[in-house]
Amino acid sequence: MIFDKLRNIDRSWLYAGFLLVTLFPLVFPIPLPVTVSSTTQQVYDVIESLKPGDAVLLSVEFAADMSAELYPGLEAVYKHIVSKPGVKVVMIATSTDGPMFVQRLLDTIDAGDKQYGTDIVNLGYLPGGESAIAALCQDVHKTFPRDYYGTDIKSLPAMADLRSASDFALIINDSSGGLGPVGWIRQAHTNYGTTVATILGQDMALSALPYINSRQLSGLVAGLRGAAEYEKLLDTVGSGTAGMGAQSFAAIYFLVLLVVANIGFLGQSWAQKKHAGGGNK
Amino acid sequence: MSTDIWVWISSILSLCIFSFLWKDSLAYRMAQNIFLGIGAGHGLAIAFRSLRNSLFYPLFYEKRLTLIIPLILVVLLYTKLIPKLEYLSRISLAFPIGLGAGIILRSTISGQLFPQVAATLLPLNSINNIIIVVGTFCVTYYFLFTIKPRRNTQPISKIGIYLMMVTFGLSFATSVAANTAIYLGFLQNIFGTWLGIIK
Repeated sequence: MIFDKLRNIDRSWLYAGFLLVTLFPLVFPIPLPVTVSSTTQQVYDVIESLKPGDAVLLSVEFAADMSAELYPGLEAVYKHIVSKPGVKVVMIATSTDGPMFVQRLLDTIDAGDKQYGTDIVNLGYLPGGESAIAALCQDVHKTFPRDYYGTDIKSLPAMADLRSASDFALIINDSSGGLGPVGWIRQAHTNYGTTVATILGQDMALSALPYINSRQLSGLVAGLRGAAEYEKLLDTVGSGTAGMGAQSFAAIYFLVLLVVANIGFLGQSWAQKKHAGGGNK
Repeated sequence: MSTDIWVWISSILSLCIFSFLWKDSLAYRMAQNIFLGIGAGHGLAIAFRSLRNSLFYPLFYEKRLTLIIPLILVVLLYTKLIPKLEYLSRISLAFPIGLGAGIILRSTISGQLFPQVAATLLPLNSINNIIIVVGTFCVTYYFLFTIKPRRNTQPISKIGIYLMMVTFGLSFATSVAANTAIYLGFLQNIFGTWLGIIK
């Protein structure tokens, strides 16, 4: 019966269909309009309001398998920060893969006049979860006596005035799971009043919205879509924007499959009831 | 087509992982084991670098002798591998567990509980505010298992259940979107960086 066939479509056809539906807009780009959400705009506005002399702490907290979703947002935010004159950026990582992405940022993004040591610092991996974040917020120099490359932190001019979380104008974390921004909210924002913003995977973005509403979080860049929105605000085109057409087509494909599967399910239930009713007569 | 050997290796390994959709093959297992091994090795290298910068350099070059205490705790952790001395590793574990619990407990009350409750106390002057206040109340009421449910309060629990169902549906949809984004990264790597089909 047709309803049986709709419910039991061979998976290999579904995979092939998904591949075609997502590959087509990547090979033949279809420009789709991107509207900027209020949470992404908040992150942009906070960074735009930074003044010369302000410092940003950027924490990379995702693993390599999530980089396709989270690295575009990190890249866009980092580009924005380094374009602000006189603003320092200090980078740490709380995941073991994080230092790799911090290094990629340093190697691939042009920071203009900013120099390592004077305007940009890579402190490296911070193990220990929220306890380590609490220690960092209390005393940055004791937590990181040396930067990622082994240089004494006291010899880095950028770190001279940065002792605790209250010396940072903004903390941005980029995470895919685990603690997320909650650890930074609890330790940095609650105890030191530091502004915290976040870049999160779309699956975690929902759980961050209560903190946006309570104004504990000053903005959220959510996944690949958030990266595309941020690129639009920066008036650039990057991997976030490139993936939007394919992501939209994938969402439509899933909706069509949902409808087809439910038609099959409901139709089969109806047919069974009709057959049972006909048998009783 | 890329001429970088590392792009070829990463693309072939990605395809080996995807071969799981066909069947659990030798190629999939090989790629999985390579991933696990490299992940473990990379993690070890990063952890050692962190120890070198935070413990060994300050202790042996800057003579910060108070760092002998964490060094002893690190060594005691490895007594877990010696059955007769395993009990000593509990001393090392007790510190992060106790410290972490204390830090998080204090911060959870002042940094999460009170601000979130305060943020829910909204004036009922818009649809959004009404949904937030009523929804929070109904969902919280659903989880009050110490009060015997009554017939006239069942609608409150029902509203809580329906709101949770909507939330779980949203959560699933965002999870699908997140995984789609990761899959798109794979496509861009294979068909863009490796094969050069995507410009």
